[in-house]
Formats: sequence, structure tokens, C-alpha cells
Amino acid sequence: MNPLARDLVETLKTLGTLPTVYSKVNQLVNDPNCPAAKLGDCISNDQATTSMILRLVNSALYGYPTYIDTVTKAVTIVGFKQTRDLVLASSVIDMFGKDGDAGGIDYRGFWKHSIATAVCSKIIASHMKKCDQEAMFTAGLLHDIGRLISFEMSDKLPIQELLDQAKGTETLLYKNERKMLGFTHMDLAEALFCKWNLPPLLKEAAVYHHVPALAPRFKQEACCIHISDAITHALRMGSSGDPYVPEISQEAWENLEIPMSKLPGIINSLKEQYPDLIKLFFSED
Amino acid sequence: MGIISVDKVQPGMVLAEKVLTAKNMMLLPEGVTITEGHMMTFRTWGIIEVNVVGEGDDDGDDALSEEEKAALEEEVRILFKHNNLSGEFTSKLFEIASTTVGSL
Repeated sequence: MNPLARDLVETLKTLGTLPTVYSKVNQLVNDPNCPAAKLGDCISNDQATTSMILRLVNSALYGYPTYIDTVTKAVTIVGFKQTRDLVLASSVIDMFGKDGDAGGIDYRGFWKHSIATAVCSKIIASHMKKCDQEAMFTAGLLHDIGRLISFEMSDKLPIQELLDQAKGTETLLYKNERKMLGFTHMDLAEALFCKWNLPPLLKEAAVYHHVPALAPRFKQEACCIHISDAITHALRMGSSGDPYVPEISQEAWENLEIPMSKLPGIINSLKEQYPDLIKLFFSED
Repeated sequence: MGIISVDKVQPGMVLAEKVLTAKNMMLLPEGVTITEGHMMTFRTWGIIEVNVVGEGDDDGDDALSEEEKAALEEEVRILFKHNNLSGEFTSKLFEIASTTVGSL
């Protein structure tokens, strides 16, 4: 792990620990005898998480014919581990602001890129032989979180110079990070995810999204995020901070074992579900 | 023809390609006119999308003039400047991105 990134993450007070609801849920999910109702009750005690979970399972993302009105129902339909991953997604969204303009990046654009990548990753996972759709949704949502951390620290880091440099030389932002900051946004994500003790699948999918071939155990998952990231950049869905489509690995696409004829359908589904998710995410209640 | 989500399927549309289940069992051959009953079958078998005649693909980009199309392609070319367009996936993605108007 990059020591600079680790030290930086250590200094972040607000990101120190995940909300208690996540650790409680994680504990219950690891108990094979836990009934769905118990997990549902545990989540129901947290109003913000309950509201986000219900909005997610009732969105275009799932397209269930009837309204799912309780978390327990959501748990039985979506699954235990899958619910945990959605709780994680909801918790992290709560920790960061949705609006604002720190370090020259607009948060709204950042989250739009993250949401689009999350939706796209879930759709791609649904076409893969064996890939957890909710884990991919959460990994997609969190894949650039390191960048958000670096932007939040723009008072201590030369973020503006980094952005100017990438713009001036028309180079990829993530390739300049190591040179100018001493670490990349993937290093920051790795440090944060280790601190939070997240499952290795989520960690690898997010940390290796620019270099999926290097993922030690979850290569296919990292490839899924890599391809989603390319698609959402190409379709100009939100803004990761990088003005160009990152370098795409043909091998990553082949690793997914999805026929090319499915790509237009995947992109159509993304375009259909994306507006609903954006509305859900930015609507306050 | 084009691939559309089953939610967008309307009775009367014609299949441009046979519909297979995840295990490659054929549900319907190509050329069939879709009925309400078929739509129920799609849901039962968890079909996500089908290829129908005369849908998708162009996505309304016919409304663009030649200059607008060229400008759009140029914009997307800049977006892809760090990529080699010879890769199969990259070139297909570039093609789709070049017909998608504006940022989403």
C-alpha cells in the first residue's frame, strides 16, 4: 500500500469509520442463522438508509412490478450480501456531500459519473456468467472515491495544479497523479477500503479499475468496472474530473465473455435507467 | 433493427432475431409478431432485451445535419484521444458515442 496515501487517509476524521448501521448489518449478514426480518429490522432503525434502500429497490434498476414497501421484503428479494452492499453504497453517499465545488470539481458531476458507472456495472454483471450485481453496483459507485478524497483535500494537495497540468498537456489526469501527488486515486481508495475493512471483491474491483489485469483475485470484477468507466466517459455521463476516456483494455472486455452484439443493448439499458437513478439520488426526502 | 429492453416491447413488434433463454433454449424464432402472451413469456423466463425490427440503432440521429454529425464525431474523437480506435470494443464504443448527442 502507498504509505503517503495511507497517512493521508489516517488524517481524515470524517471518513474514519463507516456508520454503525453498516457494521451491524455486516455482522448479521455473516451469521448464517440470521432471519431476513432481523436484518430488515436492523436497517429499519436507520431512517436515511431505509429510505435509500427502498428507493433503490423500487427504481428502474430492478424494475419490479409491485412496490416493495419494507426493508425485510427488499432483503428477501435482493439477498443478504446484496443488501449489505446497498447499505454500504447508501452509507458512503451520506458521508460525502452531494453538492459543492471543492477543488474546482463539481460534486454533482462527480456523483453523476459514479452513479452512471454503478448502473452500467450492474447491467454488465447481469450479462456475465457469475458476477454479483449489487457488489458491482457498489464498486462502480465507489470506484473513483479516491479522487473525491483528493479533491476534498485541495487545501493541502496541489489539486489545481494537477488539473491545470492535465488540461495544458492534454494528458490523462490519473497518469499525472503519481507524479504530482505521490499517489493515485486508486492508492487513496485502497487505503480507505482497508481502513473500512471492506470485502476484497469490492476493494479489488475499485482499486484496479485502470489496470484490471493486475487484480490478484477478482479480475473479472475489475474488468467490469474498467469497461463501465470507459462507457460512461464515452457517453459523457457526469464528470470524473478526467476530460478524456481512460485507456481502454480490449482484453478487459474479452474477459467479461459478453458477445459484442450485446453492447448496444447494455448501453440502451444504461440510458434508460440512468435518469431514474439520478432523480432518486438527488431528490431530498 | 435494434435491441430494446423488454419494458419497451409493444405487441405488434416483429422479432429481428430469435429469443433465447440464458441456457440457450429457443423461446421464439425470428420474424414472429409479438403478442401480450409473448411478453408474459419474456418476463417468466427473465429475458432482459430482444432484437426487434425497425427499433433502436439510429436513435433519432437522422435529425442531425451532416455538419452536426461531423462536429459530434470530432468532439468524440478528442474524447478518445488516448485510445487506439483499432480495438474491437473501443471502435464499437466510439461508434455508439459518436451518435449520442450531448452530455447525459
